[in-house]
Amino acid sequence: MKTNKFILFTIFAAFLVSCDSQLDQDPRQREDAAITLSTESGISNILSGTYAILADANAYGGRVQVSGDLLAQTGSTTTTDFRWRGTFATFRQMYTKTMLVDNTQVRDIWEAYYQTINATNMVVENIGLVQDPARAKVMIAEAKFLQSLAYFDLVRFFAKPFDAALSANSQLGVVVRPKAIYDFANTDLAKERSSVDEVYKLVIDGLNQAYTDLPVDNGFYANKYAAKALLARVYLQQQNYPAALAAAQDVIANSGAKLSATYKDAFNHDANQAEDIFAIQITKQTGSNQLVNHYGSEDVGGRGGDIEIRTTYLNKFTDLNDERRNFNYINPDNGRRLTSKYTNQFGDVPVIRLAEMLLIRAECNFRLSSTTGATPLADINALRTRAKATNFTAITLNQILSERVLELAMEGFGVHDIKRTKGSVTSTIPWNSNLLVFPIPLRETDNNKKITQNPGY
Amino acid sequence: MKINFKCLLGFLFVLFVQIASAQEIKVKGKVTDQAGLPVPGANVILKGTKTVVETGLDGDFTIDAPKGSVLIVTFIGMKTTEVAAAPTVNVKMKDDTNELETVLVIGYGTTTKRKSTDATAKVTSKDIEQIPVASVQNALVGKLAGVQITQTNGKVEGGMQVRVRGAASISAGKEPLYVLDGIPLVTTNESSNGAPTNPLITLSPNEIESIDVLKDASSAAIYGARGANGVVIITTKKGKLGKGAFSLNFSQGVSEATNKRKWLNAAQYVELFTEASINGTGDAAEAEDTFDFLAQGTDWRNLEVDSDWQDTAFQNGLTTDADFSVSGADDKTKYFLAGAFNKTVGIITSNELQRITARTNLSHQVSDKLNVGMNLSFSRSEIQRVQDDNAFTTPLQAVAQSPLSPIRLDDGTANPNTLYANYLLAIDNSYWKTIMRRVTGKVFGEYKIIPSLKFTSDFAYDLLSQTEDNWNGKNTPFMATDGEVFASSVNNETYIWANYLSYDKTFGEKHTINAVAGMEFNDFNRRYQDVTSIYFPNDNFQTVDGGAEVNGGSGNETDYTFSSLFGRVSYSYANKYLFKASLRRDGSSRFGENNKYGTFPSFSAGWIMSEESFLKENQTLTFLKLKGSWGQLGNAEIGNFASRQLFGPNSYNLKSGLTFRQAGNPDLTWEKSSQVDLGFEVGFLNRFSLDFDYYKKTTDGLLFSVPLALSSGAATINQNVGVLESSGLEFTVNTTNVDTEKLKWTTSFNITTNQTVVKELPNNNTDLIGAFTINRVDEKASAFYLKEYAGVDPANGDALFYLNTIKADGSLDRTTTNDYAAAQRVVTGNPFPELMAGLTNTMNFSGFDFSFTFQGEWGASIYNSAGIYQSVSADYFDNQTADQMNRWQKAGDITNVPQARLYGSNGTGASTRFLQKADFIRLRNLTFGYSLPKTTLNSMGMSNVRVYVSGVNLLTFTDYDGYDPEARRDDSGIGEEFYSAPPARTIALGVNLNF
Repeated sequence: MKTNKFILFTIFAAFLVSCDSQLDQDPRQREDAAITLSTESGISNILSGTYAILADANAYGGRVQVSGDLLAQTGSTTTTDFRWRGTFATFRQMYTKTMLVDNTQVRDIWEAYYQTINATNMVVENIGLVQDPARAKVMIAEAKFLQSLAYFDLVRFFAKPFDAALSANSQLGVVVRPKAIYDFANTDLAKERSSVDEVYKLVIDGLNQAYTDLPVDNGFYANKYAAKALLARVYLQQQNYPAALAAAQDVIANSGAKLSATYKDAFNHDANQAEDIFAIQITKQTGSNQLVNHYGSEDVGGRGGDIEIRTTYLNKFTDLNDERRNFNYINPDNGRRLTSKYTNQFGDVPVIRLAEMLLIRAECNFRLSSTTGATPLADINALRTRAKATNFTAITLNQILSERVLELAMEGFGVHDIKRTKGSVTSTIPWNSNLLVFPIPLRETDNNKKITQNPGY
Repeated sequence: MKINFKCLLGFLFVLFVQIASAQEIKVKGKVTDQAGLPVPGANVILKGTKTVVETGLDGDFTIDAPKGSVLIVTFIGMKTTEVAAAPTVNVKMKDDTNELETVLVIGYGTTTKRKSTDATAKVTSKDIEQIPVASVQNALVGKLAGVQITQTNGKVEGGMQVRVRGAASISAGKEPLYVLDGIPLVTTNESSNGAPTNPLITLSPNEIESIDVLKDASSAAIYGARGANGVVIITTKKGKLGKGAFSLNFSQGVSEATNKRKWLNAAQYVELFTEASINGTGDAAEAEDTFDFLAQGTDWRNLEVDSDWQDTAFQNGLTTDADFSVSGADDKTKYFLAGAFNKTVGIITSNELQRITARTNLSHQVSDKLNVGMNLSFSRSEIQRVQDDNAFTTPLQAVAQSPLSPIRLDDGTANPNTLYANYLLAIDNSYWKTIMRRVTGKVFGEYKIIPSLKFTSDFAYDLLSQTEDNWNGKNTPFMATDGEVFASSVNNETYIWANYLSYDKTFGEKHTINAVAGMEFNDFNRRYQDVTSIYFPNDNFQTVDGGAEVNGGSGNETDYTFSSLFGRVSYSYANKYLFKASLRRDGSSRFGENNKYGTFPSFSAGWIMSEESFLKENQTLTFLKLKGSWGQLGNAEIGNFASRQLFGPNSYNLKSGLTFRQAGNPDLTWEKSSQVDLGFEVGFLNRFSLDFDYYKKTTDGLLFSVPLALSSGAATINQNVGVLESSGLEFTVNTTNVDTEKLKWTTSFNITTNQTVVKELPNNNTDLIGAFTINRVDEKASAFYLKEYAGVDPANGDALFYLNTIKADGSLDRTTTNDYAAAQRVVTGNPFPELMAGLTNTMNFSGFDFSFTFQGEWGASIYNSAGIYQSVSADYFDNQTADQMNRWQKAGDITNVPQARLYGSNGTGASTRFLQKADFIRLRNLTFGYSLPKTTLNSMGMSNVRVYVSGVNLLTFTDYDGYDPEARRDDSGIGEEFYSAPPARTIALGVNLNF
């Protein structure tokens, strides 16, 4: 008996000791934040991971652009340039200006940008781990660029438009997070939105720093002129034409970017081309090209043409031979006319092309009656020549603005151009209508008790 | 796999040897049970003497008995019978209807119902066999008080929800722990296509002897940190003393959907959408333009095509079930061998299950002290699946297609130009094949150290190996890469080593002690990998190798471990006063560094009043027991690494990247659930028994994936905050209505109430708001939270909503508005039932047997999240439910359906317009059988032949308008329906053979 008991006891004791040591298990597909945030490679991976966040479907995978263009449509079959024919209720609400606070697309855009903001703040705050000071400087600059891109889109979509005629744009912008958040358990995360002015200042400061510290060549990551080009776009949105002009001129003169030989060549790339100033890189493995998904036929990997080109748009072209007018195809499956801009399922998503800079320079020169770099007529004709359209002999502001639509349609500029030029979508939906501003997502208002909802929601 | 049945039967007949016995001594007898099967091992006692003989394998016995004496025959589970001694005696023993002696399996031991102080529920094999359903859980519906069992929807492999006394959690696991022969089973849902699969579909009901559900803390505390959602203990069959018994069962059935919905036909579609187009866009052009597209050249104006898409999505199901078992035992060795084949063709197009299972349970008494054995089973389940409910190409989403669209083209191929991708393109050009392979086994040894002390050691292993093969051909919708193949493989392995001592002794006749103490170690590993390839030469290549480019892949692994000590002591005095205490200490890798170990105690007591002298002789009140218990349980189903702050890979342009993936909380721990149970059991005349239990389960430290302000950069954080209280009553009534030689009729009725109420929430009781539900203090858990639909304005056809804003005096403003944005959400309805009942009647009448089970649920509502597409007065071109024809058309119309406005968003926001009560009563199953007379059988050499017809879901009584009050969406959501398939109604014919 005693022997038995002794044996049993020994087995028990030995076994328990060995088992308890097995209670420590680590995840194998994730890494403890403490490790990530304590190594140089961790920080540098967070930075490249931030590009990946932006390459997600809901941000610059393309749904940000789709949203910008759908908001600009009349929503009526007979008058719309681009008709939403897809089944996504979230996009249909944008098309028909009936957005609800629980629109999940609106929520997902909000979420992707704030993920970007926190990640970039983490990079900036932990940059001390990067040994090479030059490399550290560039990384901060890239983080600032990505953060400015995020804030700029947030403030364009979620706030009443910036109006240069106002002495101060004190209307509510978006929530600003100046510091990275690490401890979500014990931090009060509720915060009110900052003013539109404050958000724009943050965007501009970030881009200026990025411009200063970024190299001219930075591979497929953001470089010096990507920052400057975005700055031109931001100033234009603020109707700050001198600053926009100077920025666009800098990019055109110094970035080395060139117009592609043909209009067709400007799209559907697997890698950046001469005309690309900044593009989101899509591969078969990473990123998700939603422009193809929504604009493309089934044959190119799309949903068959959620967005169809109507004759209203084609009629805007004065020259029937304008290649841009004919840069489309009929989906044989359903007869819809679809743009040829997005036919490479795994192609990159263009964010800034040189053509936009020429249009900014032309518009600003015209408004300022200047000819910095080139005359407005010359810039516009450069684009028309490339598109094999008859050149203008004289030019008006309306023609310049119209040229933007011919050149940049379906690239996400729609509603933002209407807002800055104080145009209108329909007679009842002017540039400053509540219906053209995204609601603050219900998911945010439910959990951020300090935030104020937009008027009309 | 095909079983050639005729061959098998023929073979068995040849093998069959009729055993005749012809011995002549003084008293020669045979003991049989009610079914005429021999009872081996029964004791035959010469009354008034100590002379005892045991019956042999054929139930035969011989005994010397003086003339005129009486023989007493006893056997466990049978009524003791007395017969007069005679040269030939045939003793037919009756089943002991006294359910008090039922053996309850309680984890690391057993007890009897009489002496139990726990709240448990039990079914045995005879309650679940021959019900024509593929999964074990499905056979239990309505038969267990306090246990709600719902199959998510009508797909054959569909995930199951089992809730023991309501959910003990909101966001951690809610499923009970499954323990098969002492092995905690792997129950990971390994489906990659969005819809869950039922990991227990691999079990065949024919292997199962009994299922015991541990409901209260007193019983489940022995499973500590894993017991909070209850424990389902499955015990497989063992060989019984006697010669080898061969049992064969074959059944075949047909099935169809319990319900179909009514949709617009072509004429109604054209009428409604033309009207909607005029109202919504000013003219009919928009609708007619779309009709032209939908009709694809057919003449829609003359209704050339009138497609019934719903009909194409359903098919007639077919079930085939064949199983056999051989079992027996001598005084040293027990054996049970079984095999089963099941083929279930589902009611949804191209949904099918084919399963083979086999099991062997073997034990051998090596010496007086040592018993060793092994249980081993393997199974293979091959499932042809369809997409989850949220996929355009799942068959039931076909109801959204227009009746104007041809279903197939003239050449027989699926029409590719439909409103939504035609699911038939997916059916014709793709498949999703899931194979689940499972091996479960244990070896065990039991060593009697002294007669009252036994040492048991179990080593068990469970492997669930699942592969999925998804082929998409060139013509699948959204295909731009000439085909795509996805193949995955995942292994879930767990091993368990348990060692424990059991002590069982009665002192001085009155003190009985039963104790168990031991340890258990459980190690789990999951290893997953998948790969996708694209660009195929043609559709003949359907595996990864055929693709020109491998464009995706993933591989990952995860583990958890539990290391536990446990003990339990039961003490009873004079069979009257019962006490029990148990304790378990669990350590787990899942818990945070500061909370590695948890201790879970329980206490219970019972008083068998009917043993007291003042009741003992009472002939009417034959049993009365009062009982009460308290204990604490844990819920460790919080994910393997829920407490950690984590970054995960997120690569960009083929360069590595990391992105923040989980906000961490180092204090995270298991959910603690305390449960109180008070009850009594009462029996009258040994024919009527009533069990009553009141329970209150309070779960503290609820694990919440607490939503954060998205502007913080993280979406959620796991926190242990919050209290959930689940309480209710359970009644079970069992009666023997008639018990005569010819007719036996028993009734079992159970009724359960459950109220699960949120008592405390994170962030100072901030509401937790989901898509359509809310968790708010003092409201039901996950209650629906919606704007309240107020019908239609008779003046203009606008959809109206109640404002429900809070007025100055605190009351709700019940003014109606047509401004959806102005209306506020209110708590409105419970996604879970508050009252459940089951009623089973069983009748046996000279060879006939008849039983049926009714099941009912009350109090739950279902939100149809597809309502915004299918029942919204033609807001978009989705086909509408037929009731939308009742739309408002002119001033003064009183209706509940707003004016039809294409793109008009007239009442399309989420609201109670799409919420409905889902109360129902259903004839869950009915079985009618006939056993051939014994005299006929004996000449054929068989002991029992029974033919039967059995049905499932035969009748449903409900006011619910959706597909079925039990069908819920399978990809996400709580209490939602979204193109969810109704369950199957099945009728099967079968035959049992025993020899």
